[in-house]
Amino acid sequence: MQILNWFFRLNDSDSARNTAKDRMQKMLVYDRLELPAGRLEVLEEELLAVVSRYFELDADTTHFDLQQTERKAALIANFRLLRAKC
Amino acid sequence: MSKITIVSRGDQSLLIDIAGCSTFKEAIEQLSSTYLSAGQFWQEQLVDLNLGSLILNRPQAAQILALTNGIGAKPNQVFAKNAETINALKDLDIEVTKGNPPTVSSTTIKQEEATVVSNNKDIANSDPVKETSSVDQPASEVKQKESEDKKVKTKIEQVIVFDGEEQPKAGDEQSAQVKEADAATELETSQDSILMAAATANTTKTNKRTALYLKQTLRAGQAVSHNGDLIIVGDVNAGAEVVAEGDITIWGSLRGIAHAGIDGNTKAEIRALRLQPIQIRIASYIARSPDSSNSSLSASASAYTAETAKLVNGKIRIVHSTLEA
Amino acid sequence: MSGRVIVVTSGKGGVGKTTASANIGVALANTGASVALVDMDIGLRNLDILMGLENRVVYNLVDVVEERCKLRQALVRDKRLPNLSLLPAAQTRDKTAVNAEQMKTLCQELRNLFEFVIVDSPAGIESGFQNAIAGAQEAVVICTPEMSAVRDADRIIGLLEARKEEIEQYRLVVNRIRPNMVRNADMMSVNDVLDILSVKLLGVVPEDEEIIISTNKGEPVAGTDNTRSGLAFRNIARRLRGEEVPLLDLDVPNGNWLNRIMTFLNPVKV
Repeated sequence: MQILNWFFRLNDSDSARNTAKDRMQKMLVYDRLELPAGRLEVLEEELLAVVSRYFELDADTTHFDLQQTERKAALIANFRLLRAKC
Repeated sequence: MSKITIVSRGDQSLLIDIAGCSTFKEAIEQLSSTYLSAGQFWQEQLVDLNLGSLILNRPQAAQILALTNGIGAKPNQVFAKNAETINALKDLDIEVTKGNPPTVSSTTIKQEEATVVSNNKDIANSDPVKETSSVDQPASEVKQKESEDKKVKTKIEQVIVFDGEEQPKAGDEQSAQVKEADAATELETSQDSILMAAATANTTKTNKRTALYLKQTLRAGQAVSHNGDLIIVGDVNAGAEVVAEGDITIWGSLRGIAHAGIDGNTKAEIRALRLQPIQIRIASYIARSPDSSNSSLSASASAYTAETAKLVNGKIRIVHSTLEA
Repeated sequence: MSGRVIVVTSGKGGVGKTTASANIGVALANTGASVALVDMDIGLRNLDILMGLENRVVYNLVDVVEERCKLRQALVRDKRLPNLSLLPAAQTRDKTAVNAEQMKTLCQELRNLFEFVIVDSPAGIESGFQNAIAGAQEAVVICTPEMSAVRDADRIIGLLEARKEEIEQYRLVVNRIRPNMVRNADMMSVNDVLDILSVKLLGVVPEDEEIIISTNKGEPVAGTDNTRSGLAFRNIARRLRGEEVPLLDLDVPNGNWLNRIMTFLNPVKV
């Protein structure tokens, strides 16, 4: 049964239902914070500049994400640190 | 939503209320369509303008006044709430009254008079020939009834009875009214009555009141009230309201609410080319459309039948308008 | 008596606020409670039509607020349920005709007369909405499983949260769900919407053609048996009264064998 279920849900990820849900979740983080478009990108650059004063970074793998649980948003910033700067 | 309301008050001036307009552009559009539709009516008419909280600069205020002057009306008082608008008007040497204009007082309607309207639109609006065949009352009896009641020369086609919350019973005095519909014979014999109507018209109550003539369809949310008779060339749609101290005449369909004789005049009448109102009010009496939706649907598909609503022995009745005396 | 004032709101227009208000009112009245329905959509009133009471309206809410009549005169009693009354909106005025203070006073007066006061709010988040929620202690947020409706519902929930002192609780009704579309992954499910909005669920109402028919007749579905939407609204009313009522099983397999197998293999979560 599991296999059949999996079979029928195979193309779920790009179904209208899931697309709608994903788009909604991203959109609402911005809505709830009243975050203007582009502001997050500015923050990313500034954070990167501050952190790279102290560490050498693997810039390609840094990752920023806005997530939320129970209508509260969290900013997740992920830096791959190579070594500390003297 | 009401954008513009024309209110006729006790004094000589008409109040044009454009407080419902939120922008200058809207106000200008609404005003010009109202002015154009009423044509000659505005000549020499004293007019009060209520601008509400509309924000106008000096050229805009001037434009609104020019529009009013242009159709021959004489601006009397101007009411405004917004400080900028008041200043703009003062710059133009216009006296401004701050706040709201006094409104017309309306009579209290006795709620307990609310009644069931029972009329049979299907019969009333169907083919006259068919109807004659379906009339169970002999024509002779009809004529007798008419001669008995010389005051009402109109042929009673629909009878509206209000009888608390109950439908009228068959054989009830109110419902045992004539349903006679031989339009052809009625026309033949009607010459005299028309002449009589013309003769008596001069002496009726209408000659003292002023009439407001509006050439415009009133849509949901629009309201017109007037302290005389009200003539509307156009329809009064569901959700619109027409109120007059005198008679209301609608050259079109009445689908909204009409209240004639608002100051308590029980002689006031409401007539329209097609009467399909949600409610009719005359003085302190109310009649409402039947609850079953079928009749109104079928009526809308049928032909125009000019009808008059009037108070007869304390009941609102709808009668054929054509042969009224 | 100190009744509960419940505002029915949505942000987006056309998601079924007025239909929900009428049906919740009828369903509550059917349980024996005394109910007042208040139409706050001033200028665009419709609740009277849904209730089939449009020909009985004499006075309206603005007349009451402006003291042209008594509250009791303006209340229109329902044709079928004597314990249900409608306070109609004014048609020829706009939403500036009433302010929040006046609405609070009015709701207080209504609370003394009725166990439930259901306020139908206008669409939008401006003054009309703010006035509609002014006297309420509870809110029912109506939303359909469409992105635009969910986004607007989220905005409304945010505004309701900001008034925690007055609005003690708010719950969601997901309206017009189509189980078949959810099953085929063409539409967001109720759980998807709940995930996104993080809000308590009050009920789920399936898309139902009976709603259109009942609107035309002026008889809300909640008053008639054997409609699925009517049952959904009756369940909502019971939950409002504090009963534990399980969600409707909307998963009625219909049509061909393939659909049934799909349903069996992949039961829809609505």
